This record gives sequence, C-alpha cells and structure tokens, in this order.
Amino acid sequence: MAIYNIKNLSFKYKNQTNFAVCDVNLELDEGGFYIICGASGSGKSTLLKLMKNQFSLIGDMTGEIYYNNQKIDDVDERVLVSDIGFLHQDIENGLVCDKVWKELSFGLSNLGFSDEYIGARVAEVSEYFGISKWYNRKISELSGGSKQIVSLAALMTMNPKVLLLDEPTSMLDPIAKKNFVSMTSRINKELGVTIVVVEHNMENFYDISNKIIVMDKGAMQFQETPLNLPKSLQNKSYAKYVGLTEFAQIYTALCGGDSMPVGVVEKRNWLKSVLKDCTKNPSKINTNLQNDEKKEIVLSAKNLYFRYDKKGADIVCNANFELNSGEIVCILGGNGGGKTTFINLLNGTLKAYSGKVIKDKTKAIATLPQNAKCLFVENTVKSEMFVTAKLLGIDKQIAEQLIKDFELTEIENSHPYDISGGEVERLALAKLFLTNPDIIILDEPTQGMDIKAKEYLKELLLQQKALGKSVIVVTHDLRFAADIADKVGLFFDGKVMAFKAAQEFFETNSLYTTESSLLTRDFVSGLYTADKIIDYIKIDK
Amino acid sequence: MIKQNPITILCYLFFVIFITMFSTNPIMLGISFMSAILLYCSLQGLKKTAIKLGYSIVFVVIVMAINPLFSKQGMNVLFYIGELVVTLEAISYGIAIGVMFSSVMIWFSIINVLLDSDKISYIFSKYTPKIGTILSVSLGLFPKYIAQYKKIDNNLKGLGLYEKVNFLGKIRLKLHAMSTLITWSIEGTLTLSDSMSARGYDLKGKRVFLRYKFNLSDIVMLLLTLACGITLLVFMGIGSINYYYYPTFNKIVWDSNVWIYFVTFAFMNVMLLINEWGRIKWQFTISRI
Amino acid sequence: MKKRVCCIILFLFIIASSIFALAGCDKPLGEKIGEVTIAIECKTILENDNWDKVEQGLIDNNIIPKDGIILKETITAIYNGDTVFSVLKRVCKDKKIHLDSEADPIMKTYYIKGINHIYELSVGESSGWLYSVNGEMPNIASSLYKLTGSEKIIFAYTCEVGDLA
Repeated sequence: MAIYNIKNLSFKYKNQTNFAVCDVNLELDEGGFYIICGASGSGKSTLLKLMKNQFSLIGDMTGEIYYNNQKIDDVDERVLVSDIGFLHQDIENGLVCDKVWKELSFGLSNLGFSDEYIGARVAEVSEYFGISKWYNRKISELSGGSKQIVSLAALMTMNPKVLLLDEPTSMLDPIAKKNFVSMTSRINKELGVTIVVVEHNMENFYDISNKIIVMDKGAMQFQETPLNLPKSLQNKSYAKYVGLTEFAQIYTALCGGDSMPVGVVEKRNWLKSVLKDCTKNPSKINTNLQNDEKKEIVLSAKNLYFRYDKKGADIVCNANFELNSGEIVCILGGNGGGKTTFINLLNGTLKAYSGKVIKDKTKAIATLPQNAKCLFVENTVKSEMFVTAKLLGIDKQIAEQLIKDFELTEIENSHPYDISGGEVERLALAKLFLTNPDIIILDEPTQGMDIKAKEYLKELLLQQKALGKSVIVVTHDLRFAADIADKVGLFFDGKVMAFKAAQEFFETNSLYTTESSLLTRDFVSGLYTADKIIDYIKIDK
Repeated sequence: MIKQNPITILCYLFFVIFITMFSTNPIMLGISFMSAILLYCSLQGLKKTAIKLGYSIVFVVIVMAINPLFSKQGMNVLFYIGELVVTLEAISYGIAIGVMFSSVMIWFSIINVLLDSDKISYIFSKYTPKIGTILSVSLGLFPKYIAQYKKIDNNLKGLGLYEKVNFLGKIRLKLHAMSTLITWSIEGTLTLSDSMSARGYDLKGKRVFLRYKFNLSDIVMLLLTLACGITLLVFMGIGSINYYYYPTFNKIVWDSNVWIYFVTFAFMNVMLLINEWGRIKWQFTISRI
Repeated sequence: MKKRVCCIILFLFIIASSIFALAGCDKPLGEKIGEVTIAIECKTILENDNWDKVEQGLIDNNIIPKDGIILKETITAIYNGDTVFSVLKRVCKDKKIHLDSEADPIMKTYYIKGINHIYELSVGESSGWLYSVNGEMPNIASSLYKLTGSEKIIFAYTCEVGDLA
C-alpha cells in the first residue's frame, strides 16, 4: 500500500525563476527504504520538506501530496507531528533541549501524554538505541554522532510511520556514519517504519535501500532498485554526480550489465574477471607515485605535546610530522580525536607545551577551518571578499581576480548563507587565497559537499600542488583522501601514526581503507581508488 | 543523588536557610553549621568538604578581625590599640556573623548540588509547561553559542588574521566574530523553530514530562518541614530565643521553650541527612568492598 | 593558592595599618583656660512608657542606673582648643565610663553612638544622645562647639522627640 502519493508536485521559492521541485510524481510504499539522491541544488531537500508540510518554506506549491490517501493539508496536525518524523541536516539546531532526557520526551509531552506513558516510551526507546547511559547527560557534551542518534531516538519515541532524514550523516565521521546507518536499517526492518533519506553521497545507505530516486535540476528522473541503478544510469550526464558507492561507480562506468553483483566475494570475482583481460602492468599507470627529485621540507613538527587543561590528558602526545613542498598530505581519524588541535598547533594558533614546530620563515600558512560558513558575516559574497581584503590591507583587484578564479562571479551578489555547501567552501577558499599562502591547511573541507564540489576541490588542490604549494587536508572522507593524497597518516592516540605514501597506506590497512583497495588488493596492486580502476581498464581498451 | 521531590527539597532548604539567616544564637548557628557541613560531606565527599571548611574558617577569621574596627560595643575590654577598644563581645559577634554567613553559603552550595537545572525547570514546568520548555530550550542554547563563538574565533585565528593586524584590528576581529555568531544564531533559530514545531510545540494541550513524583516520603518530609519551620518561626516571633552580644553576652535560660526550639531546629537540620542515611551507609559499604 | 595567600596577607596588612592610623590622633593638651561643669544622665529611660522599650540586654546586665544619673555634675578643667566632645571624652576616660563615638572623616566631626553601653536606638526608634550647654541645645556637632570656660554641659539620653525640653 502506498503511504505517500505525490502527484505533479512543483515548488518555486519566492523571488526565484527556476522551479526547485518540478513536476514530481512519486509513490512510496509502506515499509520501504528510499534514497533520494542527486547533486546539491537538485531539489531533493525541498521535496523532503514539502512531504512534512510543517516548515516555513516561502514560495508557491502546485500539485498534490497524499499521505495515507489523504491530502496532506487535511491531515490532523497531531497525526502529522507523531506519524512523520523529520531529521534536520543541521545537527546542532535540530536538537531543541539542554538534556538528553528532555529531548527524548519533548515530542510526547507536546502531544500531551501522561508521565507514565512518556516514561515508559522513553525508557523503551533509549534501551533500543543503547543510549540509556546518556539519559541524564547534557546534549552539548555529546559528540556529533551521538547527537544524531539522540535526534533519531527522539523521533522514534512518537511511534512514527515515516522518517524523513535530510542528509543525516553528512557531518559524521565514518564510524559514526556506519553506526547511524545500521540504526536506521534496524528501524526499517524490525519496526517497519518507512524511511526516506536525502543524500548526495549514498555510500552506506546504498546497500540497505529498496529504491533509489534520482533527481536532477528539480525533476525526478526515475526510481530504481540499487542493483539495477548502474544500468539505468548508463550514458546519463548526471551519472557521475548522484553519489554512488565506489563499486557501483566502477560498475556504471564500465557498463557492467543488468544486475550488479552483491556481496564482497561476488564483487571481487567480477572485478577479477574484468581485470584479467587487461594486460598492462598497473604500477606503470600509477601517477601518484613520487618522483624522486629532492623536495624541501617546509613544515615539520618534532615531539609535540599539548593539553588544554593543566590536569587534563594530553590531546597531542609526542607527535611528529613532516611536510614537503608540492605535496598533499591527508590526516585521517575519527571526530574528537584531536586532529583539529594538531593542525592548530601546526599553524600556530595553539602553542605546544613541549616540542617544536619548525616552519620555513618565507612561507605563509593559512587554514580553512571546519564549518567554513561561520566565517561569513557580510550580506553578499562580493562584500565578504572585499571586507576581508580591506581587513588584511590587500588590493581590491586581487579580490576581484579571486572571485573570477573561483567561479564565484555568478553568485557574487547572493547572501553567503544562501549558497550551497560547495560554493561555501569555494568562497572560503577564495578568502583564504587572499593571503596567498604557500602552505594550505584544510579542516574537513568535504563535509556536506556533493560530488561535483568535491571534484572541483580536487582539481584546485592538484593545481596548487603543481605550483609547488603544500597542502594538508584533515578529513574523514577516505575516498577523497585516496583521490588526492601523496601521503596519508592516521591520527590516533595524540600522534600521526602510519604516516606513509598513500598507496602503501591504503593497501596495508584493512579497515581504514577504500572499497576499491579491499576488492582488488588480492590480485593487483596500485588500484586503490575507483577512478584508478576505471582509468586502468579504459586505457587498456 | 537524593531521591526527594524537588519541591520538597526547595521548601526544606528555604526554611533552613531563612531561619539560619535570622539567627544570632551561637547554639543555633553551631547546629546549622555542623549539619550543613555533614550534609555537604555526604553529598560531595570528604575532599570538597575539607576545602569548603577551610574557606569558611578563613572567612570567619576575617570577619572576626574586622568587626572590632566598626564596633566598640561590649563590656569586656580585651585590649586597646591606640584609641581603638577591642572587646570580647565584638570579637564573638564577628565570629557569630562569620559562622552564620558560612553556613548560609554552604546551604546554598547544597541547593546547587541538589537542585540542578533539571529540578529547577521541573518546579517551573509543574505549573507552567511553557516556561518550563522555554527554560529548557534556552539552557540548551547557551553552550551552543559559547561553543560556536569559540569555533569562530579559532577560525579567524587559523586564517592567520590576528597576526596581521594591530590592537584595534584585533578588537574589530572580535566584533566580527560576535556579529558572525549573531548571523549564525539567527539562521540556527529558524531550524530550531522548525524542529520544535515539527515535533508538536504548537499543539494545544501540551505538558512537560515530569520525572519526579510526589510519594509518601515526600509528603511526610514536607509536612515535617512545615511543622518544624512554622514552630521555629513562631518562637522567633515571640522572641523567647533572641540572643544579644551587646553590651555583654546573653545568659541563656534553659526553660522548656528554649529546649523545644533547639531540639526542633536540630531535628530539622539533620532531617535530610537522616533521609540520606541509608544511601550513605551503602556508599561506605561499597567503598570498603 | 599562592595568590590567595598573598591576598589575605595584603588584606590583614591594610587592616593593621588603618588601625594604627586611627590610633595616632591624640593631640597634646594646650594651656588651661578655665573650668566647666559636665553631667551625663538618662532619666527619660526610667519613665514607664519608655522602660518597656528598653533592649533586653540593658536590663539583664543592670546597665541603667536606678536614679538615671551616669555622671553627676562634675567640675573639670578645660584647655585651649577644647570642645564639648573632647571634654566628654576626657571625663569618660578619667571616670572609666564607656564611650563609643564615630568619626566623620569628611565633616571632621565625631558622632556619639553610645555612652555607658547605652546606644542610640536602644530605647525605641528615635532614641539617642543629645547635649545642652547652659540649658540650650546647640545646632552643631559637639566636637565643633568650642568652650571658653564656666559653661554647664549636660549629655542626656532622649527616647522621644522633644522629651528633653
């Protein structure tokens, strides 16, 4: 039975010429697990918000949405509140209360249930999610991943029929991501709750979903099962940007066949058979291998120790690090592990209590922080650039040139808060380049970025590398790291561990590594990213 | 943590603090101080109590030293410093005031321990759900804003902006950080209000989940508190336990009134402690294992 | 911790120095210029209406003399520069009568708070010490009233406004 029935739905934001959602027809079955994917700006978040019908979207809507065969406008508000749970992309502000237990009981108490009922429901849900031990904690003390689990649990107390999740994992680290995904999978399978996820990077959701709905430029293209998606995506211009998993991307690019293999063994066998036909030695096409020319060290750290409190534990403990010119280094590691602290030591924001950071004095260093959005304060992109240039005493023309270089001309009169994640990062980078740095440090630059924006960033960083500049990227995006890094280190226990060349790093790790590496390492070496496999096979043909 | 209902606790502590504040009688102050220290110890452990006690002693000594400067009253002159008369009464009165303030301070720290934000918002929520919710939401906002401000400030530092500007520029950057925070918070408030209404904040007939119940022990304790408190206040009103230090010390006549008064006050002060006795015993057993 | 210890030491030092500053304000006597009569009494307290209002401490310790006279008319020598207040202070010191006064550093005057442990406000809300010279109550502070000789000074305790007239 269809729980949602969307007919000819279109939506246009006020003061905009293009439709955000354009003539969408969609039927969602009860108990299904749906992914709505597409690049940012494809209208998927807007569609999701329209399905809850309680948000302040300013604009005109045409067409109809039926929930349980009833027009959504006519559904009783209480039913709307309890039946349809909506999870916001913004973790911080999606949470309402100060304590976990209040957050969990918030919805139910608004619905006016008795204390006994609320107590029982909340207890049940906390046990189910394994968050009982946080019950009395302050929300501000929890990590991002834990916060998102609490948000999900708070929705589940109301016994919803549908969960609408708006990019729920874009801000989480890989482990927290997996945790969250398995939680939603359980809810779907064990409780029969219909789940609709909006993501521009499907990754972990891919394998557990029933249907994937592909959107492009506001219009729904088609819906397909994950196994048949690669086939349907053949020769589509947007195929690269829907956010497939590594294997699905390879399978799509190589025109695999009707039904994609499932399971690690099947996938590996398929790749083996494809690669067997190739004759070239993969090590020859390995572009990421270092040429042996002497490179100068521009930044190094020796035996760094740092702690925030006198009596606290060491956050950074005996850390060593080296950065050469013309090199991209990625530092991986879970959230809250001290990666950000470490780069703040490198760029001089924080001072180590023991150990030394040695920097080439002629080199300027600039850091792009996490959540670059919070750097912006002006009303337009243009004035944002100019005001910063003025603060730094830099010529206006340089700022204008950078606006052009970073393809911001189109949006130069938009408000910095209205632009997409990729554009935010671009604007922030443009601001960063005002100081013309030789060493660029990026903290989680790909968080909340779609594939297109990631591609752009990749190009930009490789360009900088070619100019002889050095880049440090702190990230938990393994695929991105594998794509660009020369060297990779894992930040763990206050130091950079396993600091080695990218290929070696990904091929020796068995958990902190890419899917491609895991699938191919047994029979061929050097192919640790999807792009490398695709290129390798295509060149051969 | 104490299991009693926040309303009972608040009522109890109100009476104890109120009566302590208007007492000058050394025996009363002694009782109040001792029981406050004991209760604090049972809640926070020996180490913190020792620190509290240390501060209290320093405070008492300071008040004791200052009081003769302002008060030349008293019949028992101890010594002169130039024209300044130091009397036994003035010093004793200083000690009494010092002890009174110290015990009130300790009682307030006990309030702090026993009534955290949860319990205070409970007291509000019970009567007006709206205020309870708003309180809870705004309590959640503060740490968010503080964390965000730190983030923004660190971001500006990370961009290398602070190194390139002079003192005035630094102030401008701090203001910049503040205004960024405001922009961010306005943006966040939209999401927040969306999230609140999506979860039924606008619905009618809302309440707030009350975690604490009024059970028999609460009622008994509340009644006992009221009985003791009112008895004490009546005795205070009659003035049968008034105590004065000037011109010289009061002589306490040990009549039935005074006995009733002291026993009632002592009982009231240790009531919560008795209530806690089971838990304390248990705690010590555990620590021995 | 060191900081706090320093704070406390500094604080005690300030107290000590202020005590010594206060202590050093005794002036040597000038040349003898004559004699005055001085008396201290609290007869008003003995009136029935007022007796009920007396603080418990005064009664318990038998502070208030039965006849209401704390110091009977006494002739004392005065010296150059003497004021009503300085004479009172000297007499009290001689006769070992308790006197509590408060200096007003701005007006450079002294205010008499209590004599013989009987303080202002001890007998009702408008009680306190007043003085008269030759039967008239001057409108200035006692420490500003310069004496020339042979005046008759009475310090009297008032319980209600106008009860001394």
